[in-house]
Amino acid sequence: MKVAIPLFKDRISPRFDVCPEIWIIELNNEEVINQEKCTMGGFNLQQRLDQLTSKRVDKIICGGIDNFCMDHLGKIGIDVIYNVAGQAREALNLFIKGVLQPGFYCDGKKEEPISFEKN
Amino acid sequence: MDKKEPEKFFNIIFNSIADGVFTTDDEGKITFFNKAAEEITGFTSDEAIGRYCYEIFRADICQSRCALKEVLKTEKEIINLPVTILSKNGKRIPISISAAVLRDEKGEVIGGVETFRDLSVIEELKKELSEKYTFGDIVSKNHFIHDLFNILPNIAGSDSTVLIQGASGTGKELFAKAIHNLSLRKNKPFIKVNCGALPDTLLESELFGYIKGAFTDAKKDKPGRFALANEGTIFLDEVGDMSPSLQVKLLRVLQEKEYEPLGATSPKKTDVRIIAATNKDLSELVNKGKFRDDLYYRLNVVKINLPPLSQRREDIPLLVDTFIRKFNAKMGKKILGVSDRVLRLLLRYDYPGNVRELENIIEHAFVICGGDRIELDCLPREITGGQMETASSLPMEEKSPFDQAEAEVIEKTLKKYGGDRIKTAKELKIGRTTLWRKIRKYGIA
Repeated sequence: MKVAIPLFKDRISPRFDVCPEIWIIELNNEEVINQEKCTMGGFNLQQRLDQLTSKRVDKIICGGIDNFCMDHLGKIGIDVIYNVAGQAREALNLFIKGVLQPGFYCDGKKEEPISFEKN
Repeated sequence: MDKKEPEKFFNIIFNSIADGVFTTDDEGKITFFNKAAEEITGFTSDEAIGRYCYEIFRADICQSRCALKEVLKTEKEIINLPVTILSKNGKRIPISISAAVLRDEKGEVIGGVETFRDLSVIEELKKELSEKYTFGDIVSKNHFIHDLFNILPNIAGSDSTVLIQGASGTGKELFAKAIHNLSLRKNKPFIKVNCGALPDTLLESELFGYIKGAFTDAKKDKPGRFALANEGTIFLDEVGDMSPSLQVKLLRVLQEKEYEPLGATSPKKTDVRIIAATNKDLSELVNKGKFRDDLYYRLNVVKINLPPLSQRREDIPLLVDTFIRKFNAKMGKKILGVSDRVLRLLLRYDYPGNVRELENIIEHAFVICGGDRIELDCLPREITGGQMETASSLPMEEKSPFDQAEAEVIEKTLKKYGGDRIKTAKELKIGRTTLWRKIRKYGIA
């Protein structure tokens, strides 16, 4: 399975459509077997979506994402865990453990992640 | 008064106003988030406080040129910067933001404050108005152009040849494209040929193509523009500049729907809609014997006359807004508009170059403008200089020093090679077509 996390420095980018970079991680069960960072700076929305398709991404863990992108990604079979904020690595760990949900704030300090799901 | 009282008092005030307000500490973490901010962003104050502002505010500029970082760095306020944020439920919201430094009672910087206003309703109204006055890429509220908007779908659906007459820069190509895009040929090519930009022989091979061996350099077959436009539309700009011999060949295409590529022995069939345009009065050229009357009547099945911008001044503010939006997107700027003085001046100017000239003026202003509003000093000097003369009182156009020098060099080189344009172009390291265009431009005999 391939997971993509839009990045802003080492944190999850607050917006998928303008994130400067994306981290793509290939997982086999709970193990990271491959990973790469791809620059997205200057890409328009279509180029971003094309990039994800060409990299055969299955799931995106992201911050803000607009409804158009959500629908489009859904149609091409990419599952989205949205409104996640905080440290990208922590979000990945929570995902591997199977507990990450939309709206989680992974601040690296609190024991329990705070969740504020979309209304 | 209790020490907590002023804080409570300020909270009441900030929670009563319609603008969103949040403050941050010097790390960019939110310390206050008012009621309107909650309503606009969809995040509650509890969710927002203690978080990095970019994770809650989610503006398109947060990751590239954060407004608060900028004010903390420059200590200069930012006022009414238009941006788009992404609300908690994934909706893009246009807002305008203002940002300033936040200081304590000793004047020490302790963070920043950002206020923002939801522009959704205003943008929606603007969009509605703009749609009302827009047809494809054509923007106008002029009644004459609106009459054209009404008949354009009928013209497009008819498949008849169209002749568009209008001065340079009036939008002839935009109308031609609009007709093509509304027609049944819209999914086929739209091919443009500028008949005034090419010498006769080149234009013939451009239009009709050639076959291998037609002339020395013809190593293989080359399709012409008519072949490329097959099943689509061909737009013949400056058709009034076409030579008499080519006029005959174009007439054949219109009459017989066929043409002969250079060097071919048999004609080729074509299925192309022709839209011709000219900045000259073709009927006048017919009277002078410079344009074939039979071709004129073939082209003039449906005629559209486009008025100069000076006869549709009501469109100037609308066009200014359109160009500002276009250049903001193209150049990544956030210019809000033009000052009242600039607009007054633009409304008075005569625009010999029509809409294209107005577009060039705005582009020039974008390059010069350092603020968020175009002021008089951003405009080209020929617009602001002197008494803002009307076109009729402007002196005759003179060649710029660069043009003057270029014309002299071309003239000398032509003389050196006894008028041989191929050798002249080679010597000047420019293409033959470019040379031909420059000869025309400078009126070199």
